[in-house]
Amino acid sequence: MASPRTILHVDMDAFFASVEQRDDPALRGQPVLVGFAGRRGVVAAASYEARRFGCRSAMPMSVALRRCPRAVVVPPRHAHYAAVSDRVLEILETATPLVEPLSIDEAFLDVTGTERLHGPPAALGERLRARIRDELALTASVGVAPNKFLAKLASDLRKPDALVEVTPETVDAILLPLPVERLWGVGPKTAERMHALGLATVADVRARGLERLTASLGSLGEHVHALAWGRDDRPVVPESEAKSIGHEETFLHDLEDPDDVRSVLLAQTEAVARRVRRAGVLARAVSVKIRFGDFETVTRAGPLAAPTDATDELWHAARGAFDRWADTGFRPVRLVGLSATRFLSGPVQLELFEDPDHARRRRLDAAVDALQRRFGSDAIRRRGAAAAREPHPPVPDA
Amino acid sequence: MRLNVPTAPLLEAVGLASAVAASKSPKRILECVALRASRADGIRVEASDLDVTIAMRLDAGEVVEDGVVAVPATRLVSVLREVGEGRKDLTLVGQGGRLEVDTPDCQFRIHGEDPQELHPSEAFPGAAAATLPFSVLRSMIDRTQFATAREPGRFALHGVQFRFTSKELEVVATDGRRLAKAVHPVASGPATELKVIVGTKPLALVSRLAADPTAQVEVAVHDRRIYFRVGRCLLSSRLIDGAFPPYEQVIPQSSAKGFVAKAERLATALRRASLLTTREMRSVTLDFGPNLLVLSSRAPDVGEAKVSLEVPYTEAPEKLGFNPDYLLDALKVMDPQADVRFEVTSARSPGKLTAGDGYVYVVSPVSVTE
Repeated sequence: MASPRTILHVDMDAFFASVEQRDDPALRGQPVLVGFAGRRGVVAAASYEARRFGCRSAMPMSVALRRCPRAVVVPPRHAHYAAVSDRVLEILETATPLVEPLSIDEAFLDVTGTERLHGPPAALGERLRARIRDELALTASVGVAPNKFLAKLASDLRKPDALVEVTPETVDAILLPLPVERLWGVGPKTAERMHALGLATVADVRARGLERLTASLGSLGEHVHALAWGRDDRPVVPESEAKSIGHEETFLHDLEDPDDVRSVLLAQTEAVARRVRRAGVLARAVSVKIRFGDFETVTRAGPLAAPTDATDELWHAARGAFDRWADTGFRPVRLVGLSATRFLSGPVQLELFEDPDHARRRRLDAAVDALQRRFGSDAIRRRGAAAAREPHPPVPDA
Repeated sequence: MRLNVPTAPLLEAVGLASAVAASKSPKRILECVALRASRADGIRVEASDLDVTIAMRLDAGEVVEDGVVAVPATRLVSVLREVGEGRKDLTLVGQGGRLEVDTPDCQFRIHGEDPQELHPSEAFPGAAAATLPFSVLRSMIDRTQFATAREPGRFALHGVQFRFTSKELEVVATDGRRLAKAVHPVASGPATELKVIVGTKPLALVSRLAADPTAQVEVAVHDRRIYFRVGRCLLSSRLIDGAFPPYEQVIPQSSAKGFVAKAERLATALRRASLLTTREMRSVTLDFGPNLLVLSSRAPDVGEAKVSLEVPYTEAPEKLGFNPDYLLDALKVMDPQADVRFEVTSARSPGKLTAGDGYVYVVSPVSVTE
C-alpha cells in the first residue's frame, strides 16, 4: 500500500475565453466564443456567459452561434495562451517542483509532505488561486485529493473559481452517484459496453465486484474497479522527468493538403520546443504521429544529429520525418502529433567550441521565449506556423 | 639488379615502407615496396599510397648491379622475416617485376609490378620551415595526436595542426571537447606564419623514422604536402583541407584557482575515482576545497567512489565534473614525476593542465544534471 499522498489539480476556468476577456475590456460580461467563424469553424473555448446559452467547446461554431447569436467570436491566439500558461506554471512551481502540466490550462501538483512549509493543502490551493487572480487576473479551480483521479474530479465539482477538497470521509458521497463516463479512461465506446452490462453509475461498478468486472471487461474491469473505490496510483511526473513531451491535435475534418498538416506540425514543434526548454532537458529524437479517418495510426521517428532543445533543430527533424512519409504516399490526416523523446540524462559533455549555427539558434529561441512571456504575442511566430489553419481548425481538448 | 645486404637494416626499412604502402588497392603498384639500387647512390627503399610517400637510403649493403624492382610489401616483409634472422649477407637479385631472395636452403621468387608505374622519387623541397631535435618532435606528436577527433564530421579535426612561425613550431590537436597543444622554439622558421593540418597516419610513421634520439628533423611544406626529413629518411604526406576553429580563444588565461601536483598522484586519484563509473555516466566530480581535492563519482546500479587528495589549494572552493578519460589521456603522456598545474575557472568553463614545458591541455567539463 502506497503512503498517502496529497495531489492538487489546478484547472484554469474557460482559459482561452478568460484570457481574451481579460485583454479586451469590451468583451467582459459578454458571451465570447474563441474559434474561427468560418463554415468549418469549431469552438475552442466558450466564456461562462456563452455557456449559459448551451455553448460548449468542441462544438461547431455554426451551432454555437445558433444558440447564442449575440456571442462575440474571437480568433484564437495559441502562442499567447501558451505564454500565459507558462506564467501559471511558474506560480504553481513555487509550491513544488513536482508539477505535471496536463494540457495548456491544467496541471497536477504533488504537494505530499509540504504541510510544514506551506500549511494545509487546501490553504495552499487557495493561495495559489489568489496569486493567479492577483498576478494574472484569471481564475482557476482547484481540486485537492489523495490522487490524480479524485483531484481532477474535485476541481470540476464547483467550477468556476472554486476549491474542493476530497477527503476519505467525503469521497463516497462525491463518487458513488457519478455516471461511469466520469471514470478516467472510460470513453464513449467503453461507456456503451458498460451500460450494456447494467453499469450506469460508480455505485453500480462497486456493487458488481472485482471478479465479475474482470470476467466481463478484462483488464479494464480491474481499472474501473480501482477508480470506483477512489484508488489511483499514477504518479505526478514533472516534465523534466518525463519520457517524452508532446502535442497532438485532432481535426473535425481530415486535412487534405500536406502543407496544412505541416503548418500544424510547425506550431506544435514551437510549443513542444518551448516545453522542452522549460523542462531543462535535451531531446535526441522527435516522433511524428499521424492518424487517418479510419483510426489507422502511423508514427515516424526523426533522429537528431545532436541532443537539442532548439526549435529549428527539432523542426528540421520533425519536418524530415513527415516529408519522408508524405513523399511515399500522403493520405488525408485526421490527427497529427509531435513529441520530443529520448531525453538525455546523466552528465552532458560540454563542447569547447560552440557550433556557431547552434549558438545562433539558441539565442533566437531565448529571445522568442522572452518576448512571448512578456507580450504573449502571436506576432512573433515562425513564418508558416499560424497560416493555413483557418479552414481546418483543430478540435480542442475537451 | 644485384645486391648483398645485411637483413636487419633492410627489414627495418621494408617494414616501415610496408606501413606506408596500401594494404589493398585496385592499383597493385600502391601495395608494393620499391628497391632502387645504384652503385653511385646506394640502396633506396620506397613506398607510396599517394597520400603518404616514404623513401629511405640504407647505410649498409653493397650494390653489385644497378636496377629497380617493385614487389608487394607484405610478401617481402614476411620472406625477410622468415629467412633473414641474424643474416649478415643476404643476396637479392631482380629485375622489373621480379625479385629473387636466395639463401643456401631457400629460394624465393616474388612476383611484383612494373617499376615504370612507381610513384616518382621525391626530394626535400628547399628550405625547412622548422628544424628541431627528432626526440622533441616525436614527443610533440605523442602529446597531441591522441586528442584528434574520431567521430565522423568536422574532418579538419581528424588531423593535427602544425603552425610554423619565425620563432616556434606549435602542434595542436582537438576533438572539440579537449585540446592539446605543444610548442617548441625553432631557430629559423618562416617569416610569415604557416598553418597546415596533417593526418594521424603519417604522424604515427614520423614517430618511427629515427632510432637515434639526437638526430635533427627538418620539416617543410610545399605544394599541399608536408615533408619530414631525418637522417636518410624522407616522409611526405598530403595535407588535410580545412581549418581549425579559433582555438586560442578557448585556452583559459592563467587562473589563480589551481594547484600543482605530481602527474602520477593526480592520475592515480582520477583512476581510482573513476573505477565505479559507467560508459553512459563517465563523469568524476572534482571538489576543490582548502588544501584538499575530493574526487567523487556515482553511477546508479554500480556504486559510488570518493578519493581525497591533499593539494596546495588556497583559493575559493570550486566544484566541477570531468570525463576522467580526457584528463587521464593527458596525464599519461606527461612525465609521471612532472609537477602539473591544474587550473579551473568555473563549473562551465574549461579546465587546464600545464607542465611548464610548452605543453597545454584544455578540457571542457561535464555538466552534471542534479
